[in-house]
Amino acid sequence: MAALISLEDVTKTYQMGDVEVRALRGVSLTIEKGEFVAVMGHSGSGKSTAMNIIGCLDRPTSGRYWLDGLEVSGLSRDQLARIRNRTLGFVFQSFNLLSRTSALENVELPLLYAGGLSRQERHARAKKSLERVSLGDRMHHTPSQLSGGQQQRVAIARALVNDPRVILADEPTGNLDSRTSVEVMALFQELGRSGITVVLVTHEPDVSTYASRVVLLKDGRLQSDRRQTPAPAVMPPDEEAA
Amino acid sequence: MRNKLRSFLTTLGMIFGVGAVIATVAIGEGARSAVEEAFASMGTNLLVVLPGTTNAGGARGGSGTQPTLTWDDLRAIRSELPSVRYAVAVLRSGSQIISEDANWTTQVQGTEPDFFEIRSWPMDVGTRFTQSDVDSGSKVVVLGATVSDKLFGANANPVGQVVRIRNIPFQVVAVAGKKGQSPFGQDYDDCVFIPLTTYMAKVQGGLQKFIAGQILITGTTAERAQDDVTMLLRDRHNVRSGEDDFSIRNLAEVASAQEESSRTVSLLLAIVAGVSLLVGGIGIMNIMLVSVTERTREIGTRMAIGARGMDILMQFLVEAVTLATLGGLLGIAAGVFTARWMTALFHWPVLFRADVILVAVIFSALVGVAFGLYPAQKASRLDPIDALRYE
Repeated sequence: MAALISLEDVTKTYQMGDVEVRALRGVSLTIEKGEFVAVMGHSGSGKSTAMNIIGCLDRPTSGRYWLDGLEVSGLSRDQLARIRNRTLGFVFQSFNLLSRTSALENVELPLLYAGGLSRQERHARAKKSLERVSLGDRMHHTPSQLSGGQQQRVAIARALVNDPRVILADEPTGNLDSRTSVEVMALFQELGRSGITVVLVTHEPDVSTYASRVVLLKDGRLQSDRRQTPAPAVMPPDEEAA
Repeated sequence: MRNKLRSFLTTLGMIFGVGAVIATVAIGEGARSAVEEAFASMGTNLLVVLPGTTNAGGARGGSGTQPTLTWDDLRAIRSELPSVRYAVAVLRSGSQIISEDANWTTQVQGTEPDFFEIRSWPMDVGTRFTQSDVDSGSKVVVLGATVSDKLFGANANPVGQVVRIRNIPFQVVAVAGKKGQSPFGQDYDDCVFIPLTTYMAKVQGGLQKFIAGQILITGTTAERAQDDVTMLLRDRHNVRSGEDDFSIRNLAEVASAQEESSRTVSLLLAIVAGVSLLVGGIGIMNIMLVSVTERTREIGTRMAIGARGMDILMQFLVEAVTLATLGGLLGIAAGVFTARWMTALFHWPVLFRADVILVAVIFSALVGVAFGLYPAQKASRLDPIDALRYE
């Protein structure tokens, strides 16, 4: 059975003026359905570049990349946008929600770009997605009326609304306190159990303990790749979600 | 879009531009329709035939100084030319008119009933004199509205009363409807009309071979009638082209000259409109470029979740068009308000035309497209990674 994500000797070279920056120097990696992978490394290790390529925001300089059985390294901008819309879901460090727009409308946005759905269908699916992250009662709040943890959950609901195969999270807990971080990690573990692959970029070792696999990059190369038993993301039972 | 004050300031260019155009067009159209009305009240397709000029030892006397038009000429014009619908002689002179307790000096015009057809001039009260009054030389008079007011007071009905012209009693049979002023400021209503024959016998003093006045003609078309009358009179007077002993004035030509000048004004307005829309459009382009820069991260986010270049392009284009159209609509409101204010202040006539307002709306939207396209394209071509990283 083909892997969901398969990178084959991928390199990425940027031209910065006269200097050539080799961000990735031949990375091969396969990720199966339902895995929860933490990609770690120092700044400059190439983890962001790897994330951009896996997220179809960037194309490799050489090497091949298959996503869900489709070779995507040679696709056009619009084709990549379509894959980002249908197959991938993004979660960012600073949430990247549209301010002055309600949680529901934020979550509906990917459906709007997917097209082909009526207003009622979009509403219903966005609502279901928000309920999945336990925010069914905050649908009409704008981001400024929500806490950081709630905003990140809205962002996760937005990433989930198109039933993606893969969720890509770039330092998703970077702007959260430790308790809400645990909440978000619990959510990711739950997604993994329901068959969605989660790829997480982080530099915090604490966060990587919740993943089922840790990939370490250094100087654009894969340094280590180990599987582990994920730590249970358990919240203190006496505290409400902030 | 989300910053209300900024959006409003941006659209001010559009508001002032469109507002100025709407107001000036309304005022210009109002003036034009007033002039048109004035010309229409002189009669449509009107020709005035004047007798020739004296030329005594090189001193030329001007139009009408030498009687050259005869009553036979008039009869020939009437009977021989199918392009002529009505032709009447009008003789006029100033005279004092006396009612029982007032007097007024005005112009007495001797003419025939067709005169009122030529001028499309209905009666206000009473019935105008008829051809049989002309045939029998009745002493009846139709008063102009101004004369009626001066002699009998405003809103009085003088029909049946007697007025004296040169000490001869005339019975008032009608008061002509109010015509207002000529395009040149002359009061059409300050005159009285009596049958032609009565005029010749009692005012002018005896019948003559020549017409001591002018001939008014309406033709099926002014040009045809003018050509036909010219040919006929040259033939009858035995003169060649260039030696005419009469002249024909075509009032349609005067009217079209007037129209020409209002077209020039319209062209100038269009140029002003173009320039102000350009300025408004540049304002919109400016704010859209600022907006694209400010929202770079939002654009990156939208691209990451699946927006294609075209989606981003449309988003910003729609925003620009909305801004421009909103500015246009506010401008129309401002223009209408200004024009009404001018009317209230200076009593200028204004005329709002639906087509002008529609064109203003469409043009505003087009300005939005034209000046929103570049910023929208810039947004749609951003690289998603750079856009996401933008601080």
